[in-house]
Amino acid sequence: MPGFAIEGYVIVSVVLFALGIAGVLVRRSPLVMLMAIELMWGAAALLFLAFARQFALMDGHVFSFLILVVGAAEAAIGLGLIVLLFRAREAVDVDEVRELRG
Amino acid sequence: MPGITDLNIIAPLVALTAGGLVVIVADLVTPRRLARPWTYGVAAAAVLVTAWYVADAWQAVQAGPLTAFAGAVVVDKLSVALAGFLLVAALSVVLMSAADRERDMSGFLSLILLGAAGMTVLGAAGSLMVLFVSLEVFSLGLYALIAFHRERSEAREGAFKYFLLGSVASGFLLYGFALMYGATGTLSLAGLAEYAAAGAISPLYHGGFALAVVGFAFKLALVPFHMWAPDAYQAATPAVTAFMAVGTKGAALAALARFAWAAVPHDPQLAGKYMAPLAVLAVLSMLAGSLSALFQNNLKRLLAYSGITHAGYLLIPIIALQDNGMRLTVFYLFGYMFMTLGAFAVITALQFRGEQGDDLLANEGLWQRRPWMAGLLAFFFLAMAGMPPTAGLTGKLLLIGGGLQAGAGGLIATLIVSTAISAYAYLRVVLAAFRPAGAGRDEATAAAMAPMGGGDGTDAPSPWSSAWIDVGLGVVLVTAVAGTLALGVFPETLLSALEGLLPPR
Repeated sequence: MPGFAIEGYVIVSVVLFALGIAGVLVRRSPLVMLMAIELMWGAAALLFLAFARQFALMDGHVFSFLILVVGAAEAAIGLGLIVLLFRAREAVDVDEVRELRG
Repeated sequence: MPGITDLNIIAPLVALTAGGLVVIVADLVTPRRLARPWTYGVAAAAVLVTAWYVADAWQAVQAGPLTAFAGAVVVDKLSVALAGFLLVAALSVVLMSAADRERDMSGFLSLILLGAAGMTVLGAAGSLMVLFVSLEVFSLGLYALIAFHRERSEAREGAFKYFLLGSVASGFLLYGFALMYGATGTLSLAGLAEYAAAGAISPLYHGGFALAVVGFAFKLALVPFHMWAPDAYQAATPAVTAFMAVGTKGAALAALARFAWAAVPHDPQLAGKYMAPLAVLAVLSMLAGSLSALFQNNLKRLLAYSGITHAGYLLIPIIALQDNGMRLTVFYLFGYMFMTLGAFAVITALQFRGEQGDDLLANEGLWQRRPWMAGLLAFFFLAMAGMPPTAGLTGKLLLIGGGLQAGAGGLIATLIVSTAISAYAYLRVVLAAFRPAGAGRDEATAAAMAPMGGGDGTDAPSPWSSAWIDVGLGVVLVTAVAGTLALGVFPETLLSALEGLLPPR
């Protein structure tokens, strides 16, 4: 397969994953944190696709589709919870969500 | 080609999943007044039908493991034992949730059954793909279950925290799996086992395994990845918390064991390096879990820290990668299940009778008000502390014996220290229940008088259903006491059945 360089895909995927972790750690808005998590999942899906292309195997492709499907379900639940939280109070900052501690 | 044989092998899962869907339909087609008894009847029936299939499967796997769907699902003694374990937990949780005042329970029951199905698949996963999907099936269900009570704002908060950290954990797990796929070119655990046995491990594989362990550690709430557990445990109703504590721990431990058995390289030096981070996490969990439990005044929070400590104990045979060691973990898991279900059932019963239930100070003087409940509460907490002749003691002794045999002296020493520390935390609960009601009681009872779950009182169950709820809670409590005692006095019965859960590496 001429012109397929796995390195490029791996680098992009690592950068995406690092951005996702940084986003979860740094950003305080629930919505943005959800997006950062999706970025981490997307990075893993990209890595699966790149390796599947390299090995010319189908199972990596299937896994990346599964990640998309489960990611959609995850986002549905997450957005539902965020709506519930917003309805309870105007929480735009996760640090303000702290009734439970100890 | 997947066919009828594959479906035969996974019959318990089909039954459980079908039950989860029939519950919703039953709620739709029955008249509103009868919806509640019908949905509960269907849920209990689904669990019993599944138990019948599981008993069948247990006979079938005595001859050797079966695989379905081209190796994606492995039905062996470990997965069937876990299925039985989860069914007991699911049925108890269904019975406990009957005390809930929320009117519309069909979604709740359906999520419990589907979550139990997801956990069962997780314990039977033969490929990384199945492992990920089943993990998500029950995690997504749990997020929704924690947030189930619409009126309680702390429920939403706990669910959201669990959701965020759980999703991050899944991200780590996925990325680790992707790296391992890149190193080996296979997703099946059997393929990983071949790669690990052959030697010549690529750096990609090391990184992938480490990330996957981080993902598992989040799900098992190992220190320092435990921050979500106390909040999520406190936020949920006792029934959900019991399901989360028992089910998640059992399924994730079984999956971790299966994963480690396949993926850890056979070179002993390398295997030691692979397991060292897990050993550190286990030691941290045992110590930090028991120390934090000392300062908790909320019983559900205390049980969360107890769960963190127990996750550390249960990891010991897995870290030692001991032949036939998994039976010690599963044995103690059964004991942990009976003790934890019992403790949460007592909290449920107290809340059902208008007490606050999960608050240490509000429980003061419980001995005078409700001697039976106080006695049961003391029994379960003393069992967790390791009182003879209960499963809490036998399980710990078995773990110690197995650990010494495997040469895991450091872990065993930590287990003993942590048991001593947490004994004090459990004793605080018992002493509070037997102390005469103190000054803190007035406001505590005032809070207890507020209707639980935000109900406005109009949903209160009729006396007729209240009797049924008492019967259900009584069944759970009797089972929990009987199980805790039976495992403590006759450990051999279960232990010999659990012989050879995983093949020697």
